[in-house]
Amino acid sequence: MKAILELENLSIGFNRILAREINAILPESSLTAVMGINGIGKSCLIKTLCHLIPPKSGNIKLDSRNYKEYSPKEFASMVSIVLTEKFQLEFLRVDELVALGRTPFTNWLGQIKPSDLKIINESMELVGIVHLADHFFSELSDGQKQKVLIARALAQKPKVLILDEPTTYLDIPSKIELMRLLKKIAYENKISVLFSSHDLDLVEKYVDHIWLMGNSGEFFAKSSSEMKTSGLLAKYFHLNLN
Amino acid sequence: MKLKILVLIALILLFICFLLFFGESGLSVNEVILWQIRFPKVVTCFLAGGMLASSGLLMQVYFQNPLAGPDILGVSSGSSLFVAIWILAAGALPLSIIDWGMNVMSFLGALSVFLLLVFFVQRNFSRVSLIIIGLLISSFASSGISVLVNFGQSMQLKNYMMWSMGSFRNVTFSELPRFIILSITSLIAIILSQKSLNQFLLSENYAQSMGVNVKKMRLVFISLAAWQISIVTLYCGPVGFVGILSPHLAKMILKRSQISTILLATFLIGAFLAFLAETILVIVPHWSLSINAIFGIIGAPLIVVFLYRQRSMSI
Repeated sequence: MKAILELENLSIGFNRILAREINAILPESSLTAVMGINGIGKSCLIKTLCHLIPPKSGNIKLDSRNYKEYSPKEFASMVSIVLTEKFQLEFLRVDELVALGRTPFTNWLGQIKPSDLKIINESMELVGIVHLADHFFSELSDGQKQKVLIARALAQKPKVLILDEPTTYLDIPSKIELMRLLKKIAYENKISVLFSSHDLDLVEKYVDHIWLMGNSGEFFAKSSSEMKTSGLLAKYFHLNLN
Repeated sequence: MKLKILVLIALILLFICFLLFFGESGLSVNEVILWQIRFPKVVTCFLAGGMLASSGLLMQVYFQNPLAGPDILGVSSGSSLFVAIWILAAGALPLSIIDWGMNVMSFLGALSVFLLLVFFVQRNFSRVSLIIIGLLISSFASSGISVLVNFGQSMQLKNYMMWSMGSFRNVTFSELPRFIILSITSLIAIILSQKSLNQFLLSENYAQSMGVNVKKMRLVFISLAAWQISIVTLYCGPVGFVGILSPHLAKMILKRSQISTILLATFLIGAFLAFLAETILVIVPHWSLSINAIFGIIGAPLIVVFLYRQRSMSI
């Protein structure tokens, strides 16, 4: 099991520290969920791993090199992200939005070359949104929007795909569809997928590994089956209160 | 899409021909009127309208706010306030720095409003709150100016009143070279940074994840917008509505949103609106209209229409 991301004694937080001494690895080509109840720091961990906020202390290694050693552009070719932010975008076509994923690699004018176009189409095919290419993003359903954003992230051709709460706005069938899609991306495209979620029942059926965050800064990283038998999930999701 | 832009260019050329050969003095064309009055006016309309539009686009992308614009967020007013302070102080200053100092002050005025807005954005103020803050900055600045005016002489007062109504006729032939150079350089800078602007379309976080140096580009964007707004405000007064309207019109006409696609159209629509208002002024000179009155009458209802169309999207 080769690691693409290594978290070494990582402490995270916005102002005050939310979790400390996190040690974990994200294996190559696998599906991993960050779990925990709301407000526990999942989003903070995700943002730290997306390189959007700095860690309080400790190291994150991507492909055996420290995050700090990557230039923004190099980082963009390794890690791509899907966030929960909502957009105010009128008249932005789906294919234009997916094409944004190629912008780290285009010239100063942002011109899309035929090779870029091929990657854009492949990403849309993989996610299953080719038929939506000429639709406006603002007119899509939440599930479709999520897929478009994933296609944009895939167009960056990353080694790691990180998603923040991707299931939150979706209905049950879309959630299941999303889990299958993420699994396919992880296995067929050899991308390590990491996402945060508090949909316990749904997630544990699909993921390979679970990172569990507890309410006083505890952190556990185990394979999905180990996690199930450990009883930790029940403990930290307060399932055994009654 | 190319056709639509060509039509826009043709319309603008029509306006230019009309405004060069027809003025408030009628159809008379002589060399003095043509070169000293109408030519500077036409160039000013084209560049000022276009710059208002492109700065509006910059602000709407940067603030992720479809209602952002030079006038609504108080940037024009900030620029005006600083210029008013400079004019009042001018009596005590050496002549050699007054002229360029005006450019610098109007830029600093616009930039300080931007820095204030950025301060609020970074503290997670909502889009609506930001607009209210913009309006408050506006009213603070105009109150400040009306207080300052008391210390000026009556001639300055009259000038200020004329200036605040907005006009594309104030740039004289001798001022034209500086106006053109300042404008063109800002436009080139926008063209050079359009790729990063495009990456900001989704959000600052996504821009960063796509390899953009966000801190640097943030500074570039607000300086560019402040630069453009300060030039227009200094020479033409605080002109409203063009900045907020043009990007929306460009997107609606082209049915696209990507910056590289709509940048030129946004600029042209800004110029088009400026020419349209100037043409109305020329056709009915006896009505004593002002540019801002015309834009208010056209612009305010249009913005209400946009808001109605976007009502499903939360602002």
